[in-house]
Amino acid sequence: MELSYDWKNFQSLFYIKRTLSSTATFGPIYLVTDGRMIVSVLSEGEDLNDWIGSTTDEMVAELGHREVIQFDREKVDEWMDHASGLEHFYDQIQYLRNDSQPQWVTKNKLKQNSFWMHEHFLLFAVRSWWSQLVPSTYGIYIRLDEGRGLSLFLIVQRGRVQSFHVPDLSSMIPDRRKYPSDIVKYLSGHYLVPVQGLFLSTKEWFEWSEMAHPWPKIAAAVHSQHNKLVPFNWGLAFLIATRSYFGI
Amino acid sequence: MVRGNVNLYPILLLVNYWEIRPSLLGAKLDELAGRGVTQLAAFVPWQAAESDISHALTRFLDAVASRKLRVYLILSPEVGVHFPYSGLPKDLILKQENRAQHSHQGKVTINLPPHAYSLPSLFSPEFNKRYSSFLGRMDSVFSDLAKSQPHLLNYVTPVLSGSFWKYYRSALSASSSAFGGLCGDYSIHAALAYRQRVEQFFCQREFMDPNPSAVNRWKNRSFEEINRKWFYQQSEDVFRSRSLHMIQKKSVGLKISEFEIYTPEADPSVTYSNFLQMISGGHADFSKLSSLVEDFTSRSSLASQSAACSFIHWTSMGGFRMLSESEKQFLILKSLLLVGSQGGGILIDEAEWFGLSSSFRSRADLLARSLMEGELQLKNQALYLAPHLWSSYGTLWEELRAKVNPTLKMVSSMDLVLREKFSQLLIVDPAYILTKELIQKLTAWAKAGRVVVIPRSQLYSQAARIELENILLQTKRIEVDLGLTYRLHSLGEGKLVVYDVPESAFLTGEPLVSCQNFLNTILSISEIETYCKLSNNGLFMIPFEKKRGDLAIFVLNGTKTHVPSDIIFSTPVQISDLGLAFLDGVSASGSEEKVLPANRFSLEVPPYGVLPLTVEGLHLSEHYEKQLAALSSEVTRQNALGAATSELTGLNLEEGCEGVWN
Repeated sequence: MELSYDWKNFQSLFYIKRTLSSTATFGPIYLVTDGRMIVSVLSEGEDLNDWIGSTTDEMVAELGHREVIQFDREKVDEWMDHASGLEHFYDQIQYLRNDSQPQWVTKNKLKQNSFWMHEHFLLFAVRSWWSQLVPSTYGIYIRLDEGRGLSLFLIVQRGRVQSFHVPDLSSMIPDRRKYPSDIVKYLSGHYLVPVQGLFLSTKEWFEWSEMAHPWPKIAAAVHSQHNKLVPFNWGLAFLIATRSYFGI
Repeated sequence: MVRGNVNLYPILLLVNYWEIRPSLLGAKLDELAGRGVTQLAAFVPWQAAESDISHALTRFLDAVASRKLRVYLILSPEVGVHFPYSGLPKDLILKQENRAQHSHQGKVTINLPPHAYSLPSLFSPEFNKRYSSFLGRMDSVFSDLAKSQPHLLNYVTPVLSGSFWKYYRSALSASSSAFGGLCGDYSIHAALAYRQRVEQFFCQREFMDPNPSAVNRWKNRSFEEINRKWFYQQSEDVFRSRSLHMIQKKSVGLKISEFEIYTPEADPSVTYSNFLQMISGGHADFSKLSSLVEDFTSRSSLASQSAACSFIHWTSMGGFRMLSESEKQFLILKSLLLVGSQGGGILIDEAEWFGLSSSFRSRADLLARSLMEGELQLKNQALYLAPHLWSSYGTLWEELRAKVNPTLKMVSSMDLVLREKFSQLLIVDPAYILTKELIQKLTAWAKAGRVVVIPRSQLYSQAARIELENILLQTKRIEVDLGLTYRLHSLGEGKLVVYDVPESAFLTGEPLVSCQNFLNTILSISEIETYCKLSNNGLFMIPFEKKRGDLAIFVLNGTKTHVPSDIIFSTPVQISDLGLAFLDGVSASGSEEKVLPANRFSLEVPPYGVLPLTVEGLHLSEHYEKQLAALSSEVTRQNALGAATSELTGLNLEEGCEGVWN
């Protein structure tokens, strides 16, 4: 049996645990409030739960120098209610991030959206304008550390991730499983879609995943090692370079 | 990991058989067996079972049995399963009419991967029909196995659990305190069942005294909150026993285990926190998860035969995944300590478990063995009898918890009270309906040298009131007014306290102080003493009694800073490091250095640290000998009276013995 949705691997690859920075204690404070009363509070690396039950005014009086981002409880209920009707958790998160509109209680140095969790570079890329240039349905095979690390096969349809799972390569001749091009060829034949393979090291994958704009690094890595993209596609390399230099 | 002969081994590793390709299943199980695993757990999602045309479950059971591994198959619907909609049928769960509603008329949303969804109502007829059919299917699978491959069943234990009942709470009311607010389903199906049950329940003769119109008092709207509490508890108990009955229709001899599984990451009190994490990509709310563990473990639910084994489920896709290694280790140890000695444990994904450091795993394994073999026992000192286990109960409960935690347990059944061996004190919540039978049971329990504290409330049936008055007539009493008035009665070897119910459940100011004084007096009457105190309130302490009579104390620091504190005892004691015993796998009476006897010791607990200590010199055995003597004298008396009643014709104990002889 092959799962269409291997959530465990998907989560491990795309929703990674962020490393806490030393300045995390000065990060923004997120609130859910019922009227003015705080019902939930979150800040990276801090336990602010003692504030639950107090008012936003009280918090601002003490922590007014910090970025405080507030969501109205009733609105949150509405958003979550709507999100629960969507098909995948990935869609649900996307919906919440796109549609939930916070109110600033205090806004100091941070720009709008700079406090938001940045979307994973690959998920962002597949649903960006690139989707108009690539085939309507295609596969992406991610393999880390030559198979010793995580691997996942995604099928993307019209800019939307349709399914994701660890593919069954057991019917391949064992010797051929060593060769990235053979794996990609096999997957392409098996799933009847063009497949782009990404053969990376775990270190670089997670390093790029943590970055808001990893494209210069990706472009440099692809430039120095063509075998990271299998098959190597000049068109894709050009798109990466464009995003790297112009940010589009 | 060895199966024990006392408790279940408290670390159950989850293997989701439907996630593993058949060609890799054998290799996976071999790998686990090679790492010393002898028991596993697996959720059986309905969706997977209903569409199991390739007999994946049977093949999994075969593979498990051939490796002599024991597997616990969790059949009841639970949250946090790595399957869309936690494995529940999609067509069923997406129907609006099948959804549960909390007390604020909203949906109960569980926003855990792989899919945020609204919980279904366990009162929905459609849900129950499908659930019965699923259990029937599983029953057939087991009975077929019993005929064709009976050896497989030697390695399989089906598990039924408490399901969604504890999650039916509004995220808003649960945000201020864990298990806060009213818990229960307020959907239309639940409302119909509630009305029907109230009619049936108060049809009992006892509630019709002194005249049939008396029953209307109980059905009054002002009693709705009280009635809903017992209704939800009864519905949960019925759900459990019905599930048990359904799974044993064909497979009669099959041994079923009953667990109470709790997934803190899915609790309504972290719903908004989960939302904030989802949009900000932040870390999980560690302190809330930690306090939820404490709150859950202070409750004990009834299975069909005995107390259900409490299991804390840490998923590998929710907030737990986002915690740091030390935070995860802390939560695992805390969960193990609080539930492991009472027959429960933790459920954790095998990959998550083996992702932890090997030194931590071996320490946790040694601790788990000690708990399984009963080397360390967490004895309940006090019980709190409440009508519904998952609802919140005002100041009386909260203050009692602050004083006796973690040796206090909330129970919702008198049967569990009667099975309790160690508790000296039972407090009955003011929202509990008292019947004649209950009064008789409570007074009999008190007579064996214990203390029972009951409210003077409106919730007595006429017969219960008369029964209590008759019992108290023959006793000496002291009336005390310390802001909260109570009467103390001497009853056999024990005591009965009848207290006036405070006007409000949640007290502040002077009434709060009166309530605290009242509880101090009650604890003093019950001779409940805390073994020791910590000077720093930021630390949490779990005391265990060791088999030899010494005390083992685990001091937990759930913060990210070093916390210094003094530990204070009433008498001079010797302390040593129990951790050495775990590291070396030897008895704590080993050769490690002991500190000179004293009343006060200074400690410093590292961030997310658990400091294990052995304490010698508290003379716990003397205290228990006294208690046991009182208990055995009462048991002897009861046995003598029982024997007399059966042997001597015409003896009626209610009329007294003198008339028979004269």
